[in-house]
Amino acid sequence: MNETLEQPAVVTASGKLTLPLIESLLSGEALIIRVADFTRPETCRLIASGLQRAGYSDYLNAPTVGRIGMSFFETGEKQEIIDHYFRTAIPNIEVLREACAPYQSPIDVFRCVVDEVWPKGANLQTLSGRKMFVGLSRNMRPGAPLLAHHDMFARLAPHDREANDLLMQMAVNVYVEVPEQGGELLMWRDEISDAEFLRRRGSNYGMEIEPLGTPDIVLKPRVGDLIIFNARKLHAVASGSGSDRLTVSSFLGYRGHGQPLTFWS
Amino acid sequence: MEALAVESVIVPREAVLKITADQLEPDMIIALAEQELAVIQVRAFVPAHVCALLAERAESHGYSSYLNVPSVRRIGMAFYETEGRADLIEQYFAEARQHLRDFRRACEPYCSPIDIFRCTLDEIWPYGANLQTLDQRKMYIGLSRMVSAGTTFLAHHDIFSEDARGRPEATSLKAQFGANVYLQMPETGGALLMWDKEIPAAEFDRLRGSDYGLPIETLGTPDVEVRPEPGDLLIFNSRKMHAVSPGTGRSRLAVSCFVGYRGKQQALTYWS
Repeated sequence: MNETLEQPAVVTASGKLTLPLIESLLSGEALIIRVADFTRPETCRLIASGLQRAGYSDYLNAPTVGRIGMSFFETGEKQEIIDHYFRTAIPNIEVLREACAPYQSPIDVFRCVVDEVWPKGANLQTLSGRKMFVGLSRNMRPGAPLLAHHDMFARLAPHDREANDLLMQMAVNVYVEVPEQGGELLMWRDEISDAEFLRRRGSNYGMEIEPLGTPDIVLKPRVGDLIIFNARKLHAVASGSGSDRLTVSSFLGYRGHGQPLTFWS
Repeated sequence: MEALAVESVIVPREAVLKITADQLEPDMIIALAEQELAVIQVRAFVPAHVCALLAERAESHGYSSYLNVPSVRRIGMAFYETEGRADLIEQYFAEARQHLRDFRRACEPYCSPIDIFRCTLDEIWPYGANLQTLDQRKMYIGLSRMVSAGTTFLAHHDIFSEDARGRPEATSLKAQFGANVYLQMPETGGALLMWDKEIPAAEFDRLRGSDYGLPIETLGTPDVEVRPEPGDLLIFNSRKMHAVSPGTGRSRLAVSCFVGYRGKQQALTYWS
């Protein structure tokens, strides 16, 4: 094993995602795991131009963030947007795959690797028998931070068992392009209740970073990194300068060792 | 407007269903399992120019012969090669993960066609799709095979429970499919030949003797013949007798796996 403890709670490895890495996140020993060169930087450059060609459009409810595909977070419990999400889920997976083609889509590779590593395998998440979308690509343009937030599937689908039986929701990002300055992942160790989070963010999608004080972890991703972290922790992205910050992303749901892991965006 | 009777409009009563990747649906998989279909031909599953690049990479990665079928060359190891021998089964599992990584790396920066196939199955099948395990160990998937010009791939069937006798993972299968993505095709020949009639495993073993399969002439005219284009994906019932007609010119390169079906409400599984 070539894992080193880089800074408290960040476990780094090179090239390979392994079961012990995932276990370290599940046990809470690590807050963030980072697999360098998960996708080769040369491949990332090829994919980045494909993604830019495919074109980013803004989140419905977070207008400073561009994306390809649609996040379930955007549905906000509105039935017509939820229907739209599911109608476009598989077509959007193909849009992402096509944008990367003929090069490998990092999320497709990630899905296969997790299925190989996790004893019970891994599957695309379904909700009420409908397949979800996975592979959301985000573009944080220079100068715009991603506000502090935590991700909770259950808030978005309060009446669905699949959203309420998670023991951990992890966030997964592969970094396809990284700005020269900034663009760090910021994380705070202390969790806040969802009610408190909703109160403090007000009408915004997240909380301002400054009032939260110094983050417990500041991690500057490199091109080709796969970074997985506990999405229940407050996290944010510092604004960058110089170039766009392109990621492809997924959530990873854990329901115990006897269950498959699941993917969705 | 006249009311139409409710019946599947997707699956025609033909042996070979030709579709594109975005048209693959669960009903087609069920039709294959229920023997209403012999072959699903997914056209241009991988773009032809990418196939040419992947074929080059596969050749430079290096093929070696099957342990038990010297005329067929492969990258990775088929579980079929273990023939129930403990040392070979150990080798198969010990090498599985490394072979998976090696093949993916060999394809870079292009996508491994098997990875896309795995994701696609997981997306379309209501209960998802996973890598097959045996005794809780992950199997290998993504065997690359090369059949040289002039070589006939003898008629045979693929039945997991013959290779993994008495194992619940194998005996629980209700159907087994072969899935091949063709990276390179010979100038002529290289067609998949299939016969409707199934031969019980014991009888097949008696007929084949020490060879891995039967000469195709002994089975008479095939009931189905499909000649894929480079980039096509063929999915077929592997428990039926099937063979590959001899090719001319180039060798035939394919990436292959099996798909296990255990009913409409179970996950699909795949392995090589």
